[in-house]
Amino acid sequence: MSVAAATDTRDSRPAGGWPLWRRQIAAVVSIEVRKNLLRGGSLLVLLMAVAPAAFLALRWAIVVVARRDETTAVETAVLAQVFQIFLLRTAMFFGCVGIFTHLFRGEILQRSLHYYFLAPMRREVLLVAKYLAGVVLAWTAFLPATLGSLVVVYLPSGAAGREYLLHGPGLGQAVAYLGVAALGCVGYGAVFLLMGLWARNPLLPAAALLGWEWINFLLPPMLKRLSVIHYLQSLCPVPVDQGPLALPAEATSAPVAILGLLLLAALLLVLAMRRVRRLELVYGED
Amino acid sequence: MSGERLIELADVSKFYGEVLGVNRVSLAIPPGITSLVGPNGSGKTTLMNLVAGLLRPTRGTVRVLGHPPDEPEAVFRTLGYCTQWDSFPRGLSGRELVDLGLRLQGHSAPAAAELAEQAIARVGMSGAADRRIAGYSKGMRQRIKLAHAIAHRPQVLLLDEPLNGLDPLARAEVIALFRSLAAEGLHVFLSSHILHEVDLLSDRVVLMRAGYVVAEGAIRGVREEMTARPSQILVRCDRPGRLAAQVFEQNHTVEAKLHDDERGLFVRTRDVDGFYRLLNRVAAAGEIEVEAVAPADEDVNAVYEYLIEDKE
Repeated sequence: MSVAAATDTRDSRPAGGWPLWRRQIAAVVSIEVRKNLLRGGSLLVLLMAVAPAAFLALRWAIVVVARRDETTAVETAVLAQVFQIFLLRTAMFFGCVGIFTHLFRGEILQRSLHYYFLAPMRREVLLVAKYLAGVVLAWTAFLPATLGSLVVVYLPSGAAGREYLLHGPGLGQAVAYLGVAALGCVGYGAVFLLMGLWARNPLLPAAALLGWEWINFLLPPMLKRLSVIHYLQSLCPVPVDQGPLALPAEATSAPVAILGLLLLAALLLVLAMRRVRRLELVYGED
Repeated sequence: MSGERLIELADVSKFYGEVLGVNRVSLAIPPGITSLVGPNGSGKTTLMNLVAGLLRPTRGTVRVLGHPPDEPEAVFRTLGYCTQWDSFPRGLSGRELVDLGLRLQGHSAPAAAELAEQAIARVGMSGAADRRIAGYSKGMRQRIKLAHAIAHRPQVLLLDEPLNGLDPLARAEVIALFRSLAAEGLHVFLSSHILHEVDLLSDRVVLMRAGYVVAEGAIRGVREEMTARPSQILVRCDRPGRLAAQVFEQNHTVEAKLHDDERGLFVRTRDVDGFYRLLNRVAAAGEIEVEAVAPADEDVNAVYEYLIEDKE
């Protein structure tokens, strides 16, 4: 009996390389985005993402009731604080923990990762595809949330606010905030993807990283650079006062910050690739 | 194909920490249908997962159609694996699961849809393919896993306990499907803990116990080893002494032992058919009234015990 007997002459599969990887990545991204949008944890991520905008909307309502007349300068400062403290350090951090640690760890817990491992797909390709799916999910939550925060701050402030946002410095700030949010998802995503692959309980290293990111303002300049938040803050258009205890450090230039974050993400993905290539599936029984 | 060997394991061992999975396994699986049989915990799934690259050997090498399993692009174009795990990516319908597998193979969407339809029809799941897998019965889940494994038309199919959880009718249908796949040139390597289920199906059998391969070869040889072994039968009846007297007159009887409650007889015989003929005759003549008859050693553990004792 010859094994060639079952060969399909109508085989439409690319032999390998980029044409195959492109199809595989598209398949994984579509299924992962759909699957993760449907799960309960996604609602929590979405709630976290909209929380800063909701806070700003509440603040605006209080301002209106109190008949206070805030200047756009005040609004800009408030937005900067809410964006950096609530959106970047809290909502995006926890949102990315929820999205990216789940990509592999969640499938191991659900005993479904083997469906990917049994495909003729390099595990590195699977990792990149899952990471891209995570980035799409994170952007879906946090880019509209960032835009929502800007809208809620400036548009209700009347003509001055609209002019500031649509024709003044607000437009450049909006682009910068969206860019920072997008980069934040890329950077934190890579960190938490790696954590989900290395740690049985990724919440422990995530908690340690949260602490490190939160005390970043207390760290000397050299150590500040060993964090994601330092580069993100350097890219924010409006600096935030970090209090009397903060150790001052020069902001990293935008090109260096962007390149640094992208390189950090790439390095973490390479480490994750090494890990996933050697990953064994032991779901707990034989 | 290297020397008509689909799968080769050379001195393969796998340890989970200090726990043995399989030890010093050297096997060459030829074309045809080969069954891997052993009791639960004997290392069958470990061996299957080593072949599929889901586990890495602690020692030794594995090759599938000439490739190491950590080259998935080469291996899984021609290998399909229906695992024992009964879990699926969340929220998918049966059709979506099979279609996903084909798109991961690199098929275009129209080709994937066509091949998925064919595979689903092949396992008799066309009517339920658009329902969510979460609502499937055990037998339906087993079938859809099989469709997923065969949809890309592999040359070699690995099946880990494919008959688990199937009712007798479904088992018969699935076995018929394996036979028809084999008749089309597909080579099958399947595991089971029930020897008699696979011995009618297989060309060769590999017996495992406690992580070791204890016997391998053509199914006829293993069956002959089993035939040489006395069968054990337990009969519950009103006059076991009378039955024992007649049983002892048969040459093939090795042992007959009365139960303490005097309502049963334990028999070891080398001619189980001859014993059943005698039992029918005695019962038909009204000499005894039979309450129950049960084979006492048809579980596979007993067979392994016998084979291991024999080898020692």
